[in-house]
Amino acid sequence: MKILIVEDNEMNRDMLSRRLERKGYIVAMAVDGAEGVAMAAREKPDVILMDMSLPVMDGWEATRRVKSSGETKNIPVIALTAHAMEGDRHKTIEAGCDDYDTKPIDLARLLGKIEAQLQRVKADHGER
Amino acid sequence: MPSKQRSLSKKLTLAVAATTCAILVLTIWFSYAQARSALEQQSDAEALKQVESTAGNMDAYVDRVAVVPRLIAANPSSRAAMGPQEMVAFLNRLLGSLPPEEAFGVYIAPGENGRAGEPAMLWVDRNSAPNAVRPQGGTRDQNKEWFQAARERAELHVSEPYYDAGGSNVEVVSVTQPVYSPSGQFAGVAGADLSLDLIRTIVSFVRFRRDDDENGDSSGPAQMGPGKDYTFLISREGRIMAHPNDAWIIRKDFSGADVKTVPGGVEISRGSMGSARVMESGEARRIYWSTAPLTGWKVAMSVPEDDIVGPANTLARRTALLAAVAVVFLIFVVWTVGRRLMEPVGRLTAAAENVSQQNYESAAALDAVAIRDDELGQLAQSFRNMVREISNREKSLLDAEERMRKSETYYRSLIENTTDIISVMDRDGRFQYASPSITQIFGIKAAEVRNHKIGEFLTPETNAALREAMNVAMSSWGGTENVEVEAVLTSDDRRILVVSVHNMLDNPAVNGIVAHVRDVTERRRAAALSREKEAAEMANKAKSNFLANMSHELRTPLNAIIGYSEMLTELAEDDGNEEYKSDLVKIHSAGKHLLGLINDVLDISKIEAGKMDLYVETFSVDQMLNDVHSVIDPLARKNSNELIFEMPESLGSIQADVTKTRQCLLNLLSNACKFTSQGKVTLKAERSGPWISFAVTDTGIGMTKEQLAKLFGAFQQADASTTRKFGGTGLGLAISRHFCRMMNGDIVVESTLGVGTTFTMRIPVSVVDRQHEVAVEKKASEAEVEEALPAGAPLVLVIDDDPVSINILRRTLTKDGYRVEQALSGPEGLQLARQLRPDAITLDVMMPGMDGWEVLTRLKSDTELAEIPVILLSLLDDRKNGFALGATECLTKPFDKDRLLSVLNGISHERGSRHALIVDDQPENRELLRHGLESDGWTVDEAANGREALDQLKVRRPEVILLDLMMPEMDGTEFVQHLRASELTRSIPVLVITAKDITAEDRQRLSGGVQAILQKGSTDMEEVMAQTKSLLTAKLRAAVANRLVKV
Repeated sequence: MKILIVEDNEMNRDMLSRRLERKGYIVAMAVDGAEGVAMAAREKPDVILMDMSLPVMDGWEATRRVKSSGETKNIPVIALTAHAMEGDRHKTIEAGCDDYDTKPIDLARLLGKIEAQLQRVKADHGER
Repeated sequence: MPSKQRSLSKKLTLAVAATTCAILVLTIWFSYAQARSALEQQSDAEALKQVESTAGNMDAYVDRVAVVPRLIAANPSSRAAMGPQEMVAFLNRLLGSLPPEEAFGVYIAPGENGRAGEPAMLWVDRNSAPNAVRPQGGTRDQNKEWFQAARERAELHVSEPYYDAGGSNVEVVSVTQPVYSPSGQFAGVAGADLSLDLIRTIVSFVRFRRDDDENGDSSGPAQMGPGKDYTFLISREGRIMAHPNDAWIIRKDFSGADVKTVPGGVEISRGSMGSARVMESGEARRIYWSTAPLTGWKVAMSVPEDDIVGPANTLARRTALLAAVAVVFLIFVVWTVGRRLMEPVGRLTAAAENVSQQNYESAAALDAVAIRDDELGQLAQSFRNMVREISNREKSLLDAEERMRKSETYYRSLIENTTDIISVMDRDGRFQYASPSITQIFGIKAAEVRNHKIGEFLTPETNAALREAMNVAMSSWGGTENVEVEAVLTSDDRRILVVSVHNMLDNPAVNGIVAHVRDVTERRRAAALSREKEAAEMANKAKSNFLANMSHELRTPLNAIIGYSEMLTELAEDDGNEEYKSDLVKIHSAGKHLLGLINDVLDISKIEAGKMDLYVETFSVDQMLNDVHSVIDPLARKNSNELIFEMPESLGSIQADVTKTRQCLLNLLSNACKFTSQGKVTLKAERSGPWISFAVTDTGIGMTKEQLAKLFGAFQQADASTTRKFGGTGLGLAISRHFCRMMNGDIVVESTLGVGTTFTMRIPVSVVDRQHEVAVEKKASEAEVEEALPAGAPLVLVIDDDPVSINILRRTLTKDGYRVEQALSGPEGLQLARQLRPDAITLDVMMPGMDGWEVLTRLKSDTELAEIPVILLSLLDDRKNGFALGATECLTKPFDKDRLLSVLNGISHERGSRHALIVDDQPENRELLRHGLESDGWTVDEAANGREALDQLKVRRPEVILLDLMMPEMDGTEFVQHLRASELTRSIPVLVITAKDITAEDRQRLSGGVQAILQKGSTDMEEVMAQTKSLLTAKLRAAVANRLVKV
């Protein structure tokens, strides 16, 4: 299972990637929205963890692009945000995110959400 | 006026009548005199002619008879030759030749020289013929007048009448002729006798105006008497020969009356012909006479004067009559004309009089006059035009006055209703006029302010400023100056006034300085407040932004701390390095705690900034509870607590903000776990009707009443030591309650110290995101209307098995501001009634299973529910049963909407609005009471003293007043007196809560005025609430009882 982490904060990126790798996932990383969109198309990850406040292109825009491209639109996007203040959850959902989690990361919770998304995609594929 | 008008007409009539009469009388009199004179002359002429002709006739008659003597005398020779016999025959022949009535007899009397032997006289008359009468002593006859006069005169002689006593014995007149012998010697006298009878008959038939048939008796012989005319005959000697009066005419022994003895006789005897006026037997008469030339007889005619002037009198009478008729006619004509002339004048006069009394309509009465084509018509037209003109002018004058008045009222009301003072001052600054609004600013009446100076109300500095402004304004005509001054009304009431001064001294209409005073105090204050508020909002926003940014900045490193420590923990675990692991766990849990604190602070700041949004979605309660369980289970185990989730098999899905719901549950459960050790933490979830509730019960330390009162306050934990012992910010409950309330739910708490606590959280199964919805779209659908109702709106529980009925009731009640809950059956209704404690219940009688009667009975037998008013809705009129079972009102279906609403309004006024007034000078005390009341669903007003409380009462009437006694300005005792003095506030129950030791005197003063007295300190909130409730319950009971009596 390949997970694309789009995160500008190096420490968070490092920690999250190492922890996910330890759980057996293959991790790809992008440092801004634009790179995230490009990598999503290139790497075809199974799940994208998208930070919302990103340089160059923010997470909402990046999500919209991912979801509007035919080859990446089926990839589940889980929004990660510290924007509890104005980070309206439904705003991320409106942007096309499939789920949402707040930072700081509770790994168990996040893993649950990741697995849920993978299950869903699997189910969809199975149906097809 | 009318009398004058009449008199004018009368005058005219009288004048015309008098003039006409005078002329007529004169004319008539003149005509009469003329006619009379003419008639007299004519009558005189006629009468004279008649007597003359009669006299002529007499002469002609005598002359005819005289033929005989003349014939005898004419032939002396033949007569001489005749013997007596022949002579008699001759005489007979002569007599026979005369008509028998004309001559009575003929004769011949020889003179003394007669032949011898000759008889004295030969005489044949009508009685003796054909024999002659031979009178005795014939010589004797020679002495007789008929003989002597004829002899002497030697011509024909007519004798005086005499009675022929010799032979014929009749009254006669003799016509004698001397007879001469052929030798010319006197031989005797021949004669013929005329009988006077005939003459008298002839005379008696001579009447005045015999030809006219005017007098009816003219045809017969004349008679004497008044009014009768007659004719008489007088001889030469003046003896009356013929007269209607027999006593005067000749008889055998009387030779006839002398004419001088009869009226007028003297005049007759004097002249041969004439007329005379006499009085006979009192009657005016005229006598006309004429003398016959042959016989010398006078024929006289006596005529009553009336017969002569009678026609003239008749004429005069007729003329007078005619004249009278003419005068009457003339008067009538004059009167009519006068009236016709005066009538329009009268109308004009009346119209003029009406106009002088401002009655212009009456000019229409002149129309009849105005159509005349004469001068009056013109006058009336002119008058009418004039009236029209006057009327128009009058009307426009009135209109102008009305406009003026309206305009005056308009401008006056503009001035008098403005909040600014509009005033006129003299040059010294004394008020001459001020609009009534001065009362609002200076507290004195506009009338009292006259001649006062505005400066009296101002501070010395501002007064000088005003003075200067006035001087500037007065330095030029029409000068204007604005100044802001401060007025000191009382020591703590200062007003900022903007005064605009306009110099209008040169304006004669004003002749003063117009000062326009505006109180800008409030505006300035409001502006200041607004600035402050703006600043506060800005600061708040800055704070929120700061917090948001800070939280982000704080979380990022925290993220790393938690993440790396967690990761290292796992690594240490893998390496079996227990020493590191325990330290790493401490770092991790400290990081988590810090995160929790940051989150709470963030939430609170969002709530306070009003930026907390709801995100309503449909989610599975079971799944959410699973999540919660998985989070809480480790916490519970940490304190060796047993975690029990009591719930039905499935709770289904609800519409709510899942994050907030979860956060609330997590908060309640983690609290329970935190404050309980080796006990039980139970979550009991159940769904009932529109609500879902979660009750978290622990067997922990519990809380005191004081702790409970502060429980939901932000930054408050039950005890400061709690924080130290258990950690946490103390924000969790405040946040949770706020979240619940955002979703139209709530959290309530029950606790017993040392035994445990139960928090019950309740939210609707279908939360409506009001904020969001209102922002997105304002749909006035019923559901929205209902949901838009404030949570405090009175709640009505509708128990009815018919959804249509419920729908109708819901619609009706929602529109009128009630929240509505529904139950489709009796048991459900009872359950909801217990859960919701609605303000009122409407109950259908006919329901399957448990019917309305049973529901009502159960409601009323449940002490907790018995107080809820029940309105029974029934198809039948079941009032009697309904009231007997305790229904507040019984309405028949289909129900009268207005009736239902009025009943409910009555109930909600008493029950639905629970508003309390707290009067206490200590803010902390007020806060405490407010908390207690508000957590029980009350709305609260506060007042720091009795005076403020009285002001508050004017704004809103509370159901109960909680009153402290010791207060500045107006204390509780005085306040109670004021309260009881007013009819409006007398019935409000008062609960006194005081720290003061109540003396017997105090009690006496308060007695009757208050319902209960509680001592501060010894009283806890629960008791206050209990007292308050019981007061209201008593009041409600009384109200319900009243209603029942009324029904």
